[in-house]
Amino acid sequence: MYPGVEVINATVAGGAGINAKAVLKTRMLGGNPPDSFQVHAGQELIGTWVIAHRMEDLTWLFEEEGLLEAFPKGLIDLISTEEGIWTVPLNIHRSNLIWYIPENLKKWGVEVPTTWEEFLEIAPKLQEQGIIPLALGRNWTAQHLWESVALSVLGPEKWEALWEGGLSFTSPEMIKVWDLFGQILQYTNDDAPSLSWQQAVDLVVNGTAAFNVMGDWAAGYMTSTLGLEPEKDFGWAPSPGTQGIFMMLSDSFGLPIGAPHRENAIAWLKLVGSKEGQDAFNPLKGSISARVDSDLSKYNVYSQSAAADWRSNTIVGSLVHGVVANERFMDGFATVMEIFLASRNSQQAAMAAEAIAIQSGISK
Amino acid sequence: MKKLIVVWFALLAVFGVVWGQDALTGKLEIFSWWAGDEGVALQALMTSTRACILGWK
Repeated sequence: MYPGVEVINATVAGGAGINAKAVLKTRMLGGNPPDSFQVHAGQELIGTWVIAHRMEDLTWLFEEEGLLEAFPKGLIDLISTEEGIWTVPLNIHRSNLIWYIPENLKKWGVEVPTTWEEFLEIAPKLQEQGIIPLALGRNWTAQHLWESVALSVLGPEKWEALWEGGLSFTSPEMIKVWDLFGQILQYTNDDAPSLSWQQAVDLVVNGTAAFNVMGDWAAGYMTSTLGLEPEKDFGWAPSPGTQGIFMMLSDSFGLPIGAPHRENAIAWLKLVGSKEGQDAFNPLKGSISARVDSDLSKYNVYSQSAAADWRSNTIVGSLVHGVVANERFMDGFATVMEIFLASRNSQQAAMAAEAIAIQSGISK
Repeated sequence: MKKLIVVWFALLAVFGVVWGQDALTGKLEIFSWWAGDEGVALQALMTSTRACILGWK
């Protein structure tokens, strides 16, 4: 019926969008926006593109497509300001997960650690057997590990207080986070700076490493790309010390002001928000649908467990994946991580984090 | 006369739908960081049933 639309799948590779975001910034500031772009729901969207008046309000689309009822209120809050609703969420990912191969753990005589103290106890035993206790990739995956460690030390209330200016980045709790993180780093692979997140997962899959802390896109990678079966071939658990807490992020798509093919972009956004579209995308991605009426029979056992946890756990937002802090803080935090990886100095890292928090309007 | 009016509105509706569909031509650039392994799900979304109905390729 339609003459056909040529879809240009413009991708810039790089986990967590580190490279893509830089390219997008250049294009947006240069007056050359794509028709629609991926952005994390939360401060990455609001604190970067919405406050700069670069997005079209999609409230009318939400009303027309029934999306106000389709998504949880808390998620709509993450993509809204008093002036409007700014993107269409495509999925829900969980950040705080630890991945392993059950058969390997059995062979090595270790169990999945439920606390970081337990991990620090079993790590030397793994090392004695020539096994890397915890696989790590480049800088952003270290930040990803850090946020899980921080959540375990702080708990959900203090984690949220940190981003609302209610807890200082130089507080004793935050020094404890950096100290524990430093201890954990002793048990990671030396070549981490050169590895992608997929290569870090590969270390676990091929039996070189015991664990990897990564979001559930790792499940998508292991099932869709490596052909493994959840529960049978690989296992998962909340990252140590975060049982009952779901650190979430959501990929969403928006409509930039000046999109060259606006009508096509609107058709795309309708697909992104639809039940059919979400249930086509998410079973392959390792995420769950952002909609409340998703057909869970289309999802594997991992995703079904994630959907159950999403409904029952305490929900907090991810730092590394754009929920709780704006891009200015995230850019600065990558530098803080670089400093810490080189120095392992908790006080120095805490003070540097506090400085960028003040600069980016998080701490006063 | 009533029948004529009904037919007239029915024709208007049909042409309206077709004209609306004709508006969907040209390009659609979707920007993301889902390349390679991570692009599998995005491709599935782009070629999903509803996308096919819309005539996207």
